[in-house]
Amino acid sequence: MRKSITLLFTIIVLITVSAILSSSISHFKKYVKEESDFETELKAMNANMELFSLLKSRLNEIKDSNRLSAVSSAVFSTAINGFDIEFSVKPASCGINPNSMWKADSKNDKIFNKGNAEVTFLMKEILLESGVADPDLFMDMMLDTMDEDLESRGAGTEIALEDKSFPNGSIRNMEHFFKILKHYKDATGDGSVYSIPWKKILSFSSEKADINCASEELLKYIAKDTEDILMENIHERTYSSLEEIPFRDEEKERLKKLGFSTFTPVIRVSIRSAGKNIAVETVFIYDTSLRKVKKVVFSKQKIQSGNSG
Amino acid sequence: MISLSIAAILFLLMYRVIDIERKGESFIKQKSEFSQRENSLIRTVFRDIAEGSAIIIAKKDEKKDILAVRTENSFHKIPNPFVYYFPVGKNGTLCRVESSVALSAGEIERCEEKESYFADVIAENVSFFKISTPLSSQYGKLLLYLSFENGRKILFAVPTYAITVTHNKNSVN
Repeated sequence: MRKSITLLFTIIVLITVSAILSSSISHFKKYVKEESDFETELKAMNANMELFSLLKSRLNEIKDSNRLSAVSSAVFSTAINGFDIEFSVKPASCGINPNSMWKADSKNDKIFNKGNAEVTFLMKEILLESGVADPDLFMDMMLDTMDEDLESRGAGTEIALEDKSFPNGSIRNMEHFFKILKHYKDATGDGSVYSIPWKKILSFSSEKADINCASEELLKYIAKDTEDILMENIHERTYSSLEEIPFRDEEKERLKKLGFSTFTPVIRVSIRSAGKNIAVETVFIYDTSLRKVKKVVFSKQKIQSGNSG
Repeated sequence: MISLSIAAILFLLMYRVIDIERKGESFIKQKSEFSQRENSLIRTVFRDIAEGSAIIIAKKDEKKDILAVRTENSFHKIPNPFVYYFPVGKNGTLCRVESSVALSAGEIERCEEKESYFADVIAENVSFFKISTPLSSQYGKLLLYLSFENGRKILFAVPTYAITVTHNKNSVN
């Protein structure tokens, strides 16, 4: 009887000690994993920046639509120092830039707008066709954001007066534009502005837009009478002149006025380095003619086991 | 009698194991929290600078610099904000101010939040905060050096494509 009690007690002690040790080990493992993930993240961010620096001289050779098309049709991949690296090159400016609607011009102490009237007209068309309840209010909100003064064109159109953390001046990126949508929705209760595929229509990288990567959605707004079958196959080839596009002459003219061309030197280079548990993607917006990096943005992804992407 | 002695020894052993484990776990937890804070500081500064398009470095005094960056990285969902790193007060608080508009040194030096900008304390007891400029104007690395009152030192390099300007006065504009 006594032997059995001792044995039982010994087993209980062993179980308790192993439970405690395993809890301790799991805490230690978690700490080591966090440290190792952070190290991987930093290494990946550095690797992406270094790799871009090495690629820059080759990127400067992209000087026409055919070369950009050839490069952008592929995703390059390699493995270096335990990282699986993928990189791709795409045109960066595939949509219209709403900032071109505003260009300040002063005369006799008064400021006039000498912005692109065709872009303004297209934006209004898009808003009307999508059933936006108050397109003028939305347009005024955009213009009041883009001009740098704090004078309202109408009631509640100068967002920076209501939201002190709202950046006034040119619309900086899609997040900035979506803040204007939110203010419009809050002011009117009209959510129809969200039904417009803005991400496929707008671009903030350049004043010019590349027709070779323009979305079908955007082109449908510009050339309404073009047959669906023609529109679906519009990107089957790379255009080296706007004259080659199968649109009517007045639509081609409209493309020119909107700032479209067959090549823009602003490209989007994406480099993704994937380590054991962490992958970091870095997007570079690079102007090959000015040889200048316009923007760098990192994003981190956790890799699930058994999934390298 | 022997069984009871063994049981008592085991009991003492278990008590010791629990005690050591408790101390070990608390040490790991402390180390992990400290390391998370430090990693978060490095990650934030790294991303602010690497995603920056324009950088100004101003000398506050012999031991501390002010760093101003126009960056894509935002804590507070401000598109393309102006970010300032500014050591404040006697306890060496390193403040990160994020704003939608450019601020003057006078506006940020209290490390207080206002309607138009956000302030976060990202490190404390900083005794030394210095930044060295890149070697090339096109692409280079900023070298950041922080030391704390407890003797802890952090030195790390951040690659940047930003245009970097250095001021030798207390100005960030």
